[in-house]
Order: sequence, then C-alpha cells, then structure tokens
Amino acid sequence: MVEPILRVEGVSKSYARRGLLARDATTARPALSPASFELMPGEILGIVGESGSGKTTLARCIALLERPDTGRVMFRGEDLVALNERELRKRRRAIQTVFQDPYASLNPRLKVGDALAEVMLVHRLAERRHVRGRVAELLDQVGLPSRAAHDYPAAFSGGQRQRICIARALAAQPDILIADEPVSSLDVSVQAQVVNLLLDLRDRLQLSVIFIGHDLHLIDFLAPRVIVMLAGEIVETVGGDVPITDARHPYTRALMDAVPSLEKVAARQSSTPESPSR
Amino acid sequence: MTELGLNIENLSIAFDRGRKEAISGLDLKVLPSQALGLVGESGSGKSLASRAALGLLPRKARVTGRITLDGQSVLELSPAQLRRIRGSGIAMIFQDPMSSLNPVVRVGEAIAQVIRSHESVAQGVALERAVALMARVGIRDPETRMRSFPHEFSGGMRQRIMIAMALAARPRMLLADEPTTALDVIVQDGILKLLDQLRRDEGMGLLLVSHDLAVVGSVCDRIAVMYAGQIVEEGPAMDVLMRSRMPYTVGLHASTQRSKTLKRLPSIPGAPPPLGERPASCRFAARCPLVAPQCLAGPVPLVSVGSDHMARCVRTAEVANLDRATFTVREREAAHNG
Repeated sequence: MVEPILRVEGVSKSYARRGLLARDATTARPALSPASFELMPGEILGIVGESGSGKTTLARCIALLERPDTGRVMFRGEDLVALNERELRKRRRAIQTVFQDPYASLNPRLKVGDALAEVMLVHRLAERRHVRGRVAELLDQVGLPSRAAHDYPAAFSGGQRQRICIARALAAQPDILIADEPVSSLDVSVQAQVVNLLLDLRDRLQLSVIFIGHDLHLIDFLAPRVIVMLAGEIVETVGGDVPITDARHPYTRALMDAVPSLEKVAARQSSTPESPSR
Repeated sequence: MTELGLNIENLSIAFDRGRKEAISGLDLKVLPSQALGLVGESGSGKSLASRAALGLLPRKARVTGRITLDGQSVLELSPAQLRRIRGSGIAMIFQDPMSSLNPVVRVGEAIAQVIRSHESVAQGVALERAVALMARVGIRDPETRMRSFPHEFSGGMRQRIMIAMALAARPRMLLADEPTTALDVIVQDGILKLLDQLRRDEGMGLLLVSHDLAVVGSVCDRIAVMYAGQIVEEGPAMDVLMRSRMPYTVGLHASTQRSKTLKRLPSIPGAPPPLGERPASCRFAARCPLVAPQCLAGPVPLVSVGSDHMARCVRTAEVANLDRATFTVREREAAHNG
C-alpha cells in the first residue's frame, strides 16, 4: 500500500493579541482549530475557503513557516514540529511554497537566473559549473525561454512572474509544493495556463501539490480531493467517492453558487427572454 | 441636443512621444441606467480608457479624440471644472479599497466629506446621509460602524464603503475598475449584486471593467471586448457571449471552462503583443487558430455582424467553427453557419 507523504495530525494555531490591552491568550479565537488530513505522493489536494477561513494559516503551519500550537506534521515518518530550527532548515527544501502575489514575492534587484541559482547553491543541489544549465532547464520546465535568466522580475507580466516563482520552488527539488492562491491575482486567461503547468509538473515530476484558493470550480477541476474550510475549521472533504455536486455542507454549496460562470449567465438570460438593453 | 451618458469617440492615447500607442481609435458609449462591461487582459488598455473618462491621465500621455459626459467635453475641462463633475457627474471605484481610503479618517466622516464637497449642507445632515448610504450599500449597524476606521473593516466591507463614497454625490455614471478582483467569491457575489441593484434603482450608468467575462456577463446588458488597445467585439451581452464573432472572445470564453471531462484547461496560446510592437493588421493574428493570409493584409475594421453587434475580424463567418468549450477548430461542421 502506498504511504501518505504527509500526515497532518490535529494541527492548530491561534494568534494571541499583543500589547497593553491584550486579553488572555487563551480567550483568543483560534485562527485554525485542530485539523487533520493526509497527502498522497503525486496527489493534488485542494483547500478552499473564503478569506479568514484559516486556509493560509494551515498552509503556513504545514510548511513550518509558522509553528502550530498543537499537533504533528509527519513528513517521511518524522514530526517536523518537534525539530529545532537547525534541523528544520535542512528539511525546508522538501516543502516549497508559491504565494499569491508574484509582484511581492520576487526580489526586484535580483536577476531571475540568480534567484534560481541562489536556491540551488543554498541547498547544495548543484555545483557552480552546472548551475547555468540547470537554470535553463528549470525555466524550460515552466515554459519560459532560457534568456529570461538575464532579466529582472520587472520585465515580466504577472503570469510569467508566477512561472518564475514556481521555477524557484522547483529549484529546491521539493517533494511537496504548496500553492497558496497562486492564480487569484491573474487574468482568467492566464489562470488556465498556470493551472495547466501545475498539472504537467505533477505528471512529470510526481510532485505532490496542495492547492489553496477560493474558486471552487477551478479547484474541483484540478484536485480530485478538496478540503473545505470555514472559520478555522475543516467542515467537509469532497471528491473521491463524493462528487462536488453532491457536497452536503451548506457552505460548500454557497461557495459553488458564488462563482460567476457563463452557464449561469446563460440560464439567467433565458429565464428573462426580453432583457431591457437600455 | 445634448447626448446623455458617457460617450467616447475615436479616442487614442499614446506614450513615449507617440511611439507607443496604448489605445487606438476607441469608440464606447454608456447610456444612463445602462451597464456596459469592458473586458480585456492586463495591458489591453481597459483601465486607461476608464480613467480617461474621468480626466485622470498621465501627463505624458498624448491624447486625441473626444470624451463627453452628458454632452460636456471632459478633455477640455479646466481642473476646477473637472473636480466638479468628478463625484457628481461621474464617480469611480478601484480594485484596491484599502489604498483608496484615508486610514486615519473614520468612514462616516469620509463619506460626509464627499457630500459636503459637492453640496453646502451642515455636518450633521451630511453625517446622517452618510449613515443612510452605509445602510444602502449593505453595512449592518451603520450608526456604530460610521465611527470605525478603514482597517477595522474586511476587504468586502471596505469596497462597500468605497461604493457609498462614490454614491455620495449622486453621480449619473459609475466607473468600476476591477472592483471585485481582490475579493473572494462570496464577497464578490455580494458586491456584484449590489452594483446591479444600485444601477437599476438610481438610474445610474455603469461601466464595469474586468478581465473576467463571467463577472461582466452576470451584471451587464452590453459587453465590449478590448484587445491590444482596440475594441474587437461589442454588442448585447448575450450575443457577445453566446454568438461570439471574434476568435479572441471565443478564447476568453473557453478559458472560463472548468469541465472535468477536459484533461487540461483551455487557454489562449501566447501573449498579447507589447506596446509599440502591435502589427498594423489584425493584432490577434499571432494567437488565432483561424488565422489566414487575409488577416495579415492590413488593418481590420469593426464590421456589423448582427443587430447592434460588431466584431473586428475578417473571418467572422468561420468563427462559428471554433469550439467555445476548448478554443479549437471543430472539424466537418463548417456547413452550420451561413
């Protein structure tokens, strides 16, 4: 039987209020109530919810960018939460994150090639003489020409920058890629390209992906299993045996209904045959 | 007779001493109480066009053409005259409500300021109207919330405050530039419904700018599609969405498809030509699955393809052969169209 690559067990997090007027930390509403799930090798797992639902907090806890208050993050049989900073640094390579805003997550003064090379050198994944070839390979993998290495991030559009961010994550040769709203700030037409790229990478590199977003239709397309979050809690897991159209939780249905789609527009228009056009 | 509404005629805007033309010969009309959706990708010129209607243009821009609001020429107004029509004649909301609100002014006060800059009413009266406006845009408990600062609101509530401010001077035309792009779907749904209702109740014209065909389709009665600085298709919303006659519109439509029967999401290959490198012939030709020699022969005019429906394409008859779900050319169905 195939073992999960990641097992999240009862991970929770609350942010205590700081400062003079802070109340007792124990009274703070948790940003994330204890959450548990498993991620299989080569699986794309979706996490969906509105802003403030705790989906980003969950992602940050899995990547240990944030230390959870309780619970365990089991990766290859080892609890990452129990590790100290130094031990953790060695494991960070394996779980990489791509963030929502590709304008804020690239150093504007670092050429794209240097940004990718830095990752490889820090993690000692390539010798200096091989770095250039490897950079070209990575750029090719995300559909950018190798001459992109010589440009600064400012020369690229939002969609291209997100490809660069993905290439930088891949430079670390991760086992797990966490994509936190990677397409939410992109044009619809470009969203499709980035989603297709993630599907290609999963196929080619057997990468496990956690894809976070608020567009349930998009997530349902690429993730066979989707975790639905509301107010810091996992309220439902859909997919697998339960198709999303059979989702039971009213919040999941509300999420589905809220996505504007052309099918809905067509249905609305045909129900009002003479729409006043002026 | 003065022409009511917003009327843009043959507008061109260029930068870099005219070398880089961002908008080329744009014609656009929004009648009172009509909702027009302006759709296009980043860099298509859609935001620039909507800002031009407010007289908000970069100083280095070289502008030709005419923009009139209820018959008044916007481009010829003095700064003082412009200030007067901004707010009462035409108001605008932007994508990012946080950076458009003063963080140290309570929201009730911010709305009252807009009212008092256009009408001479007492502060108390202005604040009362601010409360009424907050209730109007769906903010609960406005008497208390008027004393809150912008950071105490969520993104969606902030956008509602922006809408309340935009409505404060009773504008005849509202421009909304990607008003929901930074918001999640549930909040977006609420804002779109609010905009739709306001325009019906107040008889206000609405120009909704978005990259998302589905967003625009759920609110607007007319849709104009912009590509590389030009209108490439315009008409009644249903005709543009369901009987597209321009391959680019078909591609945009396809990229909203989420059918699980597809292995990959349909998308338009390539990217739009950069400023200054736009061809004189069809600007979409390099990405078009229907491209033919006549597409590269010279400038392509907008042609009528139905009642009140226009497209900028020389192969409008063949566009019916494009599959709206996948943006590929269908085989053996050419007989379908007339």
